Amino acid sequence: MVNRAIKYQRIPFVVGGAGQIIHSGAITVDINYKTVSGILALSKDAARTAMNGLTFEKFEINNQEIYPPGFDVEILGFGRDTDVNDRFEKDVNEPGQNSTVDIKVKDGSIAAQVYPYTVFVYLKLSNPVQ
Amino acid sequence: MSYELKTRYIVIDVPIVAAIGLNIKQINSKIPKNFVVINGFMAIVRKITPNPPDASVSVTFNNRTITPLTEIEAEKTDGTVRKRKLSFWPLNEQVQDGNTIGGFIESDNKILGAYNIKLIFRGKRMIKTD
Repeated sequence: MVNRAIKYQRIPFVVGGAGQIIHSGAITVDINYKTVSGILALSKDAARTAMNGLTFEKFEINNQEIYPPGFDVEILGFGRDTDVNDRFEKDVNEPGQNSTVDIKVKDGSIAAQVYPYTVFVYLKLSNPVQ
Repeated sequence: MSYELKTRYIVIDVPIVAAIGLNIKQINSKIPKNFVVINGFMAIVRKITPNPPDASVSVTFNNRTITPLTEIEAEKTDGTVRKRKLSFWPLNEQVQDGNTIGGFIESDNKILGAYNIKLIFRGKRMIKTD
């Protein structure tokens, strides 16, 4: 079987209230992809305010810290004027193939935020093109 | 044992006390181990109510001024849609274990209430890969 060169793996977080910490649990990266080469965050929140206050409490791949506690999730987000090719954080080169991804996000208690809202973290998985 | 240089981040959270008027706060933080270069910098005002205060920041590495006094982008809590990706102010500072990040934050608090200013640095760190 031939695998595609790129695959996207989605990790959802449903935030139910102000200040909540949501844990992804241990997510396993698809065994067929050698590297995690991009990370992106986006929200389905209609008011578009959800990610303003959201931070990572933990973001680890194979127990190695990728983003420190307090890192704003919005930095991994994008706006409508961002080119499609620029939406993923490109400065990422972490091992794939059954790596364990462990993420905790914390809501920032933004005033007038409507709950619940969903935030997705996408991992861009890739194989070297032969 | 093999090591690789990978992109990692440093987050410094600076609490500003509740006081109307001009406030100057010193920054003094040790750079975590194994960072060899800092190549990006960003500052965010974290206030959980609308009308965030005006604030500016100047950063030093080992008592040498690196960035001029620069206005900090305030968090948007009014439903404003961000159009582009947040970007880092480019730097190229070689650092080593024991170095410090210093500088000061000048803020003009127009409304009563404590808030936080977050400084985020992007750099290259030596990571053990086996």
